[in-house]
Amino acid sequence: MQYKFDYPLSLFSLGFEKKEVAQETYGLERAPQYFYVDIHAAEIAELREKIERLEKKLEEKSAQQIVPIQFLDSEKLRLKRPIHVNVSYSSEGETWIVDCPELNLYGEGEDELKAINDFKIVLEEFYFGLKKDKERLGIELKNKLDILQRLIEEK
Amino acid sequence: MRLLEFKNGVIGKIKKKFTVNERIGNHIYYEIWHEGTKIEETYHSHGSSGKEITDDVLQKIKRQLNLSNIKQLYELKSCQMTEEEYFNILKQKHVISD
Repeated sequence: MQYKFDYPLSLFSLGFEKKEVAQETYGLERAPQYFYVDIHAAEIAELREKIERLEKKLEEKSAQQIVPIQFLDSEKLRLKRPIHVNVSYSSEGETWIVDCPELNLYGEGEDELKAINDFKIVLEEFYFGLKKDKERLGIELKNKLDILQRLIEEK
Repeated sequence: MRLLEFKNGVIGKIKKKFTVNERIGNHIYYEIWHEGTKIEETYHSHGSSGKEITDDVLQKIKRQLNLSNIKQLYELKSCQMTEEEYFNILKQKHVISD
């Protein structure tokens, strides 16, 4: 069985001859068409996102600064000597984080100053929290209280 | 992890094995007690229960709770880590004496 195929008008008008082409021949001459279904696309996208996040974290980590806290804005406590803390920006929460691993304390805030002030509040609340139970502290918290008593004193 | 999930999931699980005292100040503190001894303390800032705790803050919390990684914190929140398993982690790390 044969079908007639009309060439596009543009080709026809350029002088191509109109021919009748058998369907079978037409089918063989046509380039095979492949459809690629990328079943890993979602996985790859997820991995890319993870890599981007890790790269960002790495950047933030390298931008981390060590800052000395010279005084506390406290009516009850004063510093005997500066406390060195890590200050870094967290893009995830769009916050600044102040961290002191030795004391196992952190503070956070919209900017560096707010994060440092938050840390100072935590320091005071943590200190008095330990002091009230000083006879009943486990090894780890007792150690933290010892460190704190070397760093701060009550006014 | 949201604040509510932390409070109900993580602290809720710890409460099954330990005594947890909540102390409210500028932050919310959780004192973890075992046999009359205060062994750990963790805290988070005030906020709505739906507030998301960022990974950076979760890193600090897991350190305060003597966990090795954030995954363990999520496991503690879910059913993947029991209160007994958490108890054993603290024992292994000598946070709790035998």
